[in-house]
Amino acid sequence: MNHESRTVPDTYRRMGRKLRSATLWVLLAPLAACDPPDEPPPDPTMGGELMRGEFEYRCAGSNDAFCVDFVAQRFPQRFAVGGNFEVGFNPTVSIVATPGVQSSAPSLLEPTSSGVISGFRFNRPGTAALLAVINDEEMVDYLHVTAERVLSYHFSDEAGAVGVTEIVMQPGESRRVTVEPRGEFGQVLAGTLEYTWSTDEGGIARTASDTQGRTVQIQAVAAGRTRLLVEGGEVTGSVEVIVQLDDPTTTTTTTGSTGDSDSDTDSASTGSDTGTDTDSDGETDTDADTDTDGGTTSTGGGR
Amino acid sequence: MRRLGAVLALMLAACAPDYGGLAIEIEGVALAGDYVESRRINLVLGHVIRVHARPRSLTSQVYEDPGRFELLSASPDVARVYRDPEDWRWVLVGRGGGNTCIEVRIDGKREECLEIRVQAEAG
Repeated sequence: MNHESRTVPDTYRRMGRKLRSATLWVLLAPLAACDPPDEPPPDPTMGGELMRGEFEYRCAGSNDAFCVDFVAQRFPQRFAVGGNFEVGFNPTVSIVATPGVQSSAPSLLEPTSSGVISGFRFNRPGTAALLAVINDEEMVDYLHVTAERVLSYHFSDEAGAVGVTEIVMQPGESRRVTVEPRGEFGQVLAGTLEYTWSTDEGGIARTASDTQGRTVQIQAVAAGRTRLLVEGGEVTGSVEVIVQLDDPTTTTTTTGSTGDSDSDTDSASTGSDTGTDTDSDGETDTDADTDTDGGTTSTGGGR
Repeated sequence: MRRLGAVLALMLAACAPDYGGLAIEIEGVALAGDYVESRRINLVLGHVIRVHARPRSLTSQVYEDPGRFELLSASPDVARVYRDPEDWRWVLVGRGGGNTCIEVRIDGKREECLEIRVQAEAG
């Protein structure tokens, strides 16, 4: 009797423990299924200076370094002179009507379309303000924005190399090259710009896609050296294209806009990797926040 | 009877505020080149400032109704003035290069005009 009375509660206790454990797992399972996000979601907003709402950056085209598939990734720190962009305003306080977004100085920040979401383009370097205005008489909020001229271009290729100054290919091979406009301190400049791509010698390498975009496909034709040129924002940038028949090693050379040069050689046959970094002037990039390439600030140069 | 009317009118006038200039100052941070002096405002083209502006009274009565007070730009192509949702607050915008003035109006009557200069960013 005593034996039975001890056994039954023990069984219940064990069952109870198992049940609690199972319940816990059932509750935790959905959490375990959620992968931690690799990157924060895009946030293309910036609070207004009167703290009554947020200005939202929008892509006016596909040729904007701040946009991926027409989705703005963040609110830019600097804008490119001549670059088109759109801005909307989302109030965070209770207001009587939806404000439209206007320019503080149309001669500097030219409106290209107006409404709840308005289009703009800087005509010259300087600082102007985006105004969130109701009925053209009441100011809800404003935000100063600054534009610079494009001073250089930063090339990257589909292989993931950034700050590319030299592309080594074999005849028949094609590669996608993307360009980012950069300002005085090496920061990426926002806005949709028009680009024109070309090569010096089409018999060595030629552009093999739409040549108006920020990305172009180049195709190696025959052995030799040529330059891939991009023109836009009143600046021409270039990257060296080397087409060679036999390519036991793949070489990517990058040169920083701060004067750093970085040469990496990967041996395809042995898998060994050697790298040399040379700092030629030690200049510091003053705006690391706007660097989208993960810390490597490089450029193909401009004139 | 006429004397009594005059005395009443005088008494009423003494009970009302009498314009004695505008107290104006920038609220928040102003960008380089933007400043407000007692009777002169300087703005860089494209810049915006928010100001606290309230008329002074020469009598013991103060201006209490912000709805009776208005700032108006004499030339909106040079400088624009926007009403702020908060009382006695206004937003001034340097829209185009040049000189103009900001009219101070009370009950629709122009009391004075503050000089404002908008100039292009240096460099």
